[in-house]
Amino acid sequence: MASSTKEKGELTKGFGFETKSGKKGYGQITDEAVNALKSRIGVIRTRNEKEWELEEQRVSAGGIRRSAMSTGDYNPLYLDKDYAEQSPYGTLVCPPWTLTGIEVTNAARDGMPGLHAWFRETTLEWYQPVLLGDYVYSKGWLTEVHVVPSKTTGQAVIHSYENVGFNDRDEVIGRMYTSWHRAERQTSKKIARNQDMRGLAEYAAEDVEKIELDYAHEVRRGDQPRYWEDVEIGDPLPLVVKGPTNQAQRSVGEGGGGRWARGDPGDWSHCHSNAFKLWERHPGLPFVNEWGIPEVPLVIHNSNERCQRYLGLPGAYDAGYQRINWTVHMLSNWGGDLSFLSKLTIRFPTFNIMGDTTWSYGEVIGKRVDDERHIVEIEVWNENQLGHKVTAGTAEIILASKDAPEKALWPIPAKQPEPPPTPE
Amino acid sequence: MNTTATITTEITDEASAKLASLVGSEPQDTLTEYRPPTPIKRSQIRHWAVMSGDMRPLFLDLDYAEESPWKTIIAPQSVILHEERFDPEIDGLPGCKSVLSAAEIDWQQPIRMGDTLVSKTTVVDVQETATAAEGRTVTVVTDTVVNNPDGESIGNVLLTWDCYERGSAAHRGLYGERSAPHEYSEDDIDAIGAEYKEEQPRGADSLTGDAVSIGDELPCVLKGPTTRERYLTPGLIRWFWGHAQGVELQKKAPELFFQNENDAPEPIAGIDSSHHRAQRWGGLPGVLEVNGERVHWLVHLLMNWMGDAGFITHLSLTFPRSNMVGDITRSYGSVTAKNLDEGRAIVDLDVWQENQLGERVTEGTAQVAVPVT
Repeated sequence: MASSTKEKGELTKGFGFETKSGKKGYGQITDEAVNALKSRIGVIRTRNEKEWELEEQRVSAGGIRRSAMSTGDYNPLYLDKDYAEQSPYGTLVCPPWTLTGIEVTNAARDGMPGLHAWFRETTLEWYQPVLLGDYVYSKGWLTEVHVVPSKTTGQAVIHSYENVGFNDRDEVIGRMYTSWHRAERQTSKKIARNQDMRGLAEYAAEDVEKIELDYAHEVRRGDQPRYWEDVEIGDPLPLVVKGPTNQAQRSVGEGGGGRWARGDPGDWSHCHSNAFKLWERHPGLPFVNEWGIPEVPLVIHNSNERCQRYLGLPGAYDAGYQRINWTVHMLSNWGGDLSFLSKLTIRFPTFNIMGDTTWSYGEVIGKRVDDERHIVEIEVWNENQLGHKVTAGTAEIILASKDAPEKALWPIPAKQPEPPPTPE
Repeated sequence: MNTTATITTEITDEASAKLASLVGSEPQDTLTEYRPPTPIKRSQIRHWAVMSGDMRPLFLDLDYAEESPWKTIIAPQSVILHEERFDPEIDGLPGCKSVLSAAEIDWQQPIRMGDTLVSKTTVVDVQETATAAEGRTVTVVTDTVVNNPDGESIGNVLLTWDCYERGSAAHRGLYGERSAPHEYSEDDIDAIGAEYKEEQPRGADSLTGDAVSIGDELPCVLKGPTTRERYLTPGLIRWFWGHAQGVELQKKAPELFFQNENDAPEPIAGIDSSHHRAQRWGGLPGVLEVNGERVHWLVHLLMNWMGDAGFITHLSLTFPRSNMVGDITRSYGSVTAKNLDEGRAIVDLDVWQENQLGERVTEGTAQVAVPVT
């Protein structure tokens, strides 16, 4: 926005908010911005949580229940204390997807305010479960930054992170590696405008019935062991369906990862005077809405109208985290209580658009015994109602062996945190 | 694709009679499962402070708060509103649009970090008005008693909810003459930013009764322009749980759902999620703000004036007009009486709130207790 007075209705709506102090250059990929970001490579970051904050974040039954319910996974391991006490966990356990809560930062809040951020892929490694009463803290660092040409956004900045999670006994519980795509919104929009875009999902009555049937046929293995010896390469995993997503559900579900298990406010809870302080610090950050009001950029991706108008997308896109949860739901349905998900790699080749339905699938592609752990390798993928593969990846699950059915499946010796790479 | 213009809902005779039958009793409690009584955490108080935009150290800084008259962190007094164990749009008349039209709140004690609140809500009155032109409106009054686990009273909340048939003329009437959300120029936004900087909250240097005179005006407190993002909080969205459970809920309570732009069922409150959707699916100028938020803002006004040692004993408010999301609200007050009582000054005030159009959206009175020297 220019510093001259503009009449109402003449505002340049959209991303970026140039104050009268005249800051410019936000929302663009520049050498200066890329180099500034590169200088953060290897710098260890934490959430700077004080001891009282960690104590208040001890996992509660309510936190576990909210995470399970917002994902739509009503596994009694998460909801029924009596049941869980009879399981190998001995108490209520956090759903594995809550490991995403160890993410210290991501690209949406790291450098180059005003560039859009999309989640490209992630690898999660679990070494032991998080149980009722534990608390989790984490460290993370930026591992790489590079600029690449992009078919969808002209050029992109790829940045990647490594995060390590610890429990209150300072044991490493898991890792999360993430990779992000940053792009200039205006360029993305121009390119998107020139492409054939799919529309919003449409459902006939029989489509909805089919989805309901798939819900009704969900199979949860539960407390029945699935022995490694009984698994064959090529075995399909029973599917799990999610959706059609909608505005209300997504509001809950996208917060359904680690953060909500901890129960603290979101990172974007800025309003009133606090919001104005934030815009003053980061004028390129807000989305100036249709009525001239600066808002946190997160609001874009929950609105079909805004994603169409400002990003040239068919509708409101997802952040990706829910697809991790849904895939984990499928894997734990198959593995049952006597299994341990140790690794998941997921790529997000395209978006889940508001209103889409997502089916999670899996197929056994390998088996191995590694350091006396009986591991099954699984190809995982998600498809939407158009048959598009919206997620692709692989998972590893440790199963019980008939030779030693009582052998504990965890903890897995954790790779200790390595010193982060030296800044370039 | 579904192109139905306006979603309407109906308050049926059966639903209305069922609600009326609850008078004198506790309604089915759908909230406790999601908000069981647990000790109030410091981080929870921080969350409330952030969401109401009142960042005083009394709410945030333990070392500071321990030096205050309360000897610990306290919560904004307005959070007592969250203790109501009744949601008119779910437990009362499923599918209706409910608007808070009046609030009468008494406090006996502050709400401290570590307190557990034990709350009980009773439906005390149900009245109905219906005209062919306006549609049916049901007013339900609830009384929530808030105690600590020892049975000592923390406070009491009497709330009046007006429940409208969605899409009715009465529902549309809540917007008055307005046909669209308020639009701001760059200068407007700059001016709002500058006004925020002028806020001067009083803290440890608390107001004393000696310094209060009838006719004193309180420094105004500004809020807004509001946005929808603030509503993405766990407490408000419990019945949107997704996927298989959403399908089950739809079978049990179809009146809570509408067919959305994907021709898929979605909780009807999703219409209220953005101006775009309220316009398309509600046939409305946009989304209304939640009137109850104004109580938080009035508490901010009073705390800014009183400082840490002040305590609000009573608020009696009516909300004659609704605001739309995107409005700004200024809170005002003036002193009408002062009396000494047991070493404290009891001060009565008129309080009111206006939006950016100069419309008086809240009217009422407050009573506060401040120390005397």
